[in-house]
Amino acid sequence: MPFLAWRRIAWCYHLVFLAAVTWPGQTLVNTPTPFVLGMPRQMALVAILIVGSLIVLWRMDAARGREAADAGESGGADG
Amino acid sequence: MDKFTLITVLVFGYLATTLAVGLVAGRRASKSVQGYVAGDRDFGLLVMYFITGASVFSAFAFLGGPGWAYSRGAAAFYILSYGALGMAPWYAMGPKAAALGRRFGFVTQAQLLTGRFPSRGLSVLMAVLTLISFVPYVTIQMRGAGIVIEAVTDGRIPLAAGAAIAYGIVMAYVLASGVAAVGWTNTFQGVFMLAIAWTLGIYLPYRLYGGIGPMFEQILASRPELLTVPGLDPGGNAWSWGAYSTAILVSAIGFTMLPHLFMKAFTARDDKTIRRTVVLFPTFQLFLIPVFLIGFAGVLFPESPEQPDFILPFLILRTELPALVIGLFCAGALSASMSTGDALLHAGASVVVEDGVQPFRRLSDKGQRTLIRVLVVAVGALAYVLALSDSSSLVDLLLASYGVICQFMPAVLAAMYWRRATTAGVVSGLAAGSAVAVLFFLFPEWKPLGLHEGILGLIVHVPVLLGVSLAGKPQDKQHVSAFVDA
Repeated sequence: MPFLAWRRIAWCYHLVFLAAVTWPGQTLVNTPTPFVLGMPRQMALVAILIVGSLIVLWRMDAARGREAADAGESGGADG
Repeated sequence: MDKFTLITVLVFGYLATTLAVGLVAGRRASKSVQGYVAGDRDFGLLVMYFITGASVFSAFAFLGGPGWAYSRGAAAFYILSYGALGMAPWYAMGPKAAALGRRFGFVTQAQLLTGRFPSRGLSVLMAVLTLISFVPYVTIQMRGAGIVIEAVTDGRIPLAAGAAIAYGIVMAYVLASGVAAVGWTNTFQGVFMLAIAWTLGIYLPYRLYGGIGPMFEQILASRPELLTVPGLDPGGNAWSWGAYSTAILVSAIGFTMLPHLFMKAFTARDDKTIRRTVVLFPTFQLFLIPVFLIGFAGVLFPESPEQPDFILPFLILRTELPALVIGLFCAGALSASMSTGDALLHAGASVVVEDGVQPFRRLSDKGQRTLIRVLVVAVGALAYVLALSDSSSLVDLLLASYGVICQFMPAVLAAMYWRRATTAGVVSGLAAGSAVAVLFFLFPEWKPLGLHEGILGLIVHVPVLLGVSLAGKPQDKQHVSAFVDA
């Protein structure tokens, strides 16, 4: 997938993240049970969203690196 | 060797190592202001990662985080939520800020702003606001260091002396080595803290409840209100959704705008380093999970500390851990405090000199370095006085400082992305937004729906910035293009 598509995904992902942890999104998941990995569900949800953020950013950066390599750049000081 | 002596030896051994790392690091950096403030723009991924991580791994997270989980339950989840949100925009903003820094020689956030919007008033306003937001932040770190030392030595070294010892050492290496010391000590301290936090976060629930799941089951059975968002307010009543949601929003925005984060972008070797740091940042955020587990482990503990912020050292001392573990924990918590405190002291003093003094009176390179050093001591002394007198919670102090910092967002975005922004618009927006934020901070009873004063400030700030800018004459096209198209 091209970098620009990943960038769009990253934007949407973090907006969904914000909506999910604030009012009113958070009210949809606001019961502690069932526990996930022993933790209350809301706490586990934030942890999962953080891991998702890591994955989305990592994929986006990888796409950028591929495109920079294809374009024959070093990928270093491309700003 | 008795327990107290062993702990003291461990802690002082650790402090001596930190001092050595800080002093050695400084010998590699050049003697220029670029070397002292921006590390010759040569920080690689490892150091950048831990420098950024140190902004999460502060005394606030190590002591305030468990304190909140312990006393206010799910309210603490806001702390877990905002970091990843605040960091993500840096993937785009960081390399752009760094490119502008390289082109124009900026070493502070305010220089970036006044580069686009030339105004000495703006420069001073930024310096003052940065200082207003940093002092409580440094205060938090000093109190944290004092709390830890007082608790683990069972009061034999009081808070005042503990904070003085830890920050005496911080001063020594910051004064000698500048930002190079901050980078390398943060790396050393970061590794230390990660290990300690995860070990204790998993160990304490097992020791006290037989596991993480059983711990939360017992809390759910006896204190269910602690496990439902938005948790409790300081008085033990239900916290409002408005306050919880805007705490996340303000902290995320404030985090993105942290003046020292900009200064660190100017220290990076290249853009790839900045991007990789942003990508890896969420791994640091996850460290808050074991920290919260420690706080929750205290909920059903039969005794309680005098202040919630003491819960972590309190638990550790009452669960009959070996002295070695207590000593290491103490060093880990001191790392958390010092690694954030040193960066802030250095950044705060640099900002005052570069943005508050330089626009009015040009100083030589040597003069700047000397003045930064004097101010490191002055800011440190001020924070120390506040740390001894202040009794509010660590997290409340942090939230208050984010309220001011988040007012930088519209101005910084306008400088980097909005062609039509004008100096008058940015200055009036910043002044109006900050005034509103300070007003609601001083009179919290006026806040509608419990919304954070930082958000209320932004609600006034953004329209003023847009309105005044659009009403005025646009800036020169070439000048604007140098910033927006960078």
